[in-house]
Amino acid sequence: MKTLTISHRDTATGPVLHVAGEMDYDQAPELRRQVDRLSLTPGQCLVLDLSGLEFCDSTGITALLAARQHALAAGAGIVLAGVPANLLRVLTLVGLDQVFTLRPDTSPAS
Amino acid sequence: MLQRSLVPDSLPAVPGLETAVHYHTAAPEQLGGDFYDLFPVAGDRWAFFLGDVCGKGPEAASLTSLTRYTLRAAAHHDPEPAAALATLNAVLHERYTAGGDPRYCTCVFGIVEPGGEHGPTIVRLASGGHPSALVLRSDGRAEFLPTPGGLLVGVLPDAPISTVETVLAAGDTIVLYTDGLTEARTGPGRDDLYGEDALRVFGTGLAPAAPGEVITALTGLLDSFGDGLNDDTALLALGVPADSSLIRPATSLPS
Repeated sequence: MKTLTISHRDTATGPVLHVAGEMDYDQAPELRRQVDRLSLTPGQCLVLDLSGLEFCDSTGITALLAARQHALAAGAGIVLAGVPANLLRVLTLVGLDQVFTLRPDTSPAS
Repeated sequence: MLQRSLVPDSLPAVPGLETAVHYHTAAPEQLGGDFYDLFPVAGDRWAFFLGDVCGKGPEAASLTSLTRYTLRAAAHHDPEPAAALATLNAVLHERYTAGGDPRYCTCVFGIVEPGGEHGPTIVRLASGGHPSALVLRSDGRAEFLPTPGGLLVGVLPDAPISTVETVLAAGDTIVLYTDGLTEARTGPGRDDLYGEDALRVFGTGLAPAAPGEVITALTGLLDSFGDGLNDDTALLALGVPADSSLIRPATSLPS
């Protein structure tokens, strides 16, 4: 199993978390911990760059939803960028493509 | 065992319909996962549902329990499928997501009005983010009942819920399943999945088939996945007997 690695950088519009590796039952809590530590301000946009994500199960999707809840509670927005094809298929299957703003590229929010 | 309280041991006999179920447990030590139920509601109708909660273990089991009892109560208040799922959505959202602990399920909820000798058997389904039901027709076709646009139940305060209606003729069978079936791995890669297209082809090969036959065949298919089947899988089939004199009671095939 590949370790989940999360790197954080700040941009003018808000934080970008680059999430790579495998996000499953054992590793998804790490994203939740990292997101919970972010202090977002109203009007910011949290970008989750998922272009390096190789696997994501339902607990991974739960972590994405928890990140969304955390952002919305702070009055911030959230974007999923660079969503891999397989995850996009699952998100569409369960209707979450209507809930998340999805962006093919991974540049900071504009 | 707690798992026993999460799915019924057997289904009640439904006049004019044949039913069959199967529950495959991927990891006996882990509770939760999938759920289903079938029960009568007002007006000679029957409600049924099948779904899949996120997560594993005791948290998933408590979510499954809340989901089942909420749907049962909702169906007695208003058995319209979209209304029952909307109630479940509101309950799960209030209980979990709104408090920062998102938990959700996919679910398909249906109402069937057995027609018997008096008319057609009508099925109405509502889906929240759940794979499409498959219908095996008496003429040998197999078709999905797409419910696009439905969302995971419990994510948003007001969720879009997708509905669909079909008529079951004599010899038709409708099959509900969880994604353990379609997401079973059939190759070395994590993306080599069984998939909906293969399931439809499998259904076409079976049709026409009564619920008991369908569940037996799908159970064999699940067994053939071996280690590729790494998730709980629930199967529920309802059908109108091709010959109404052959109606059999519900059968439950243990895992």
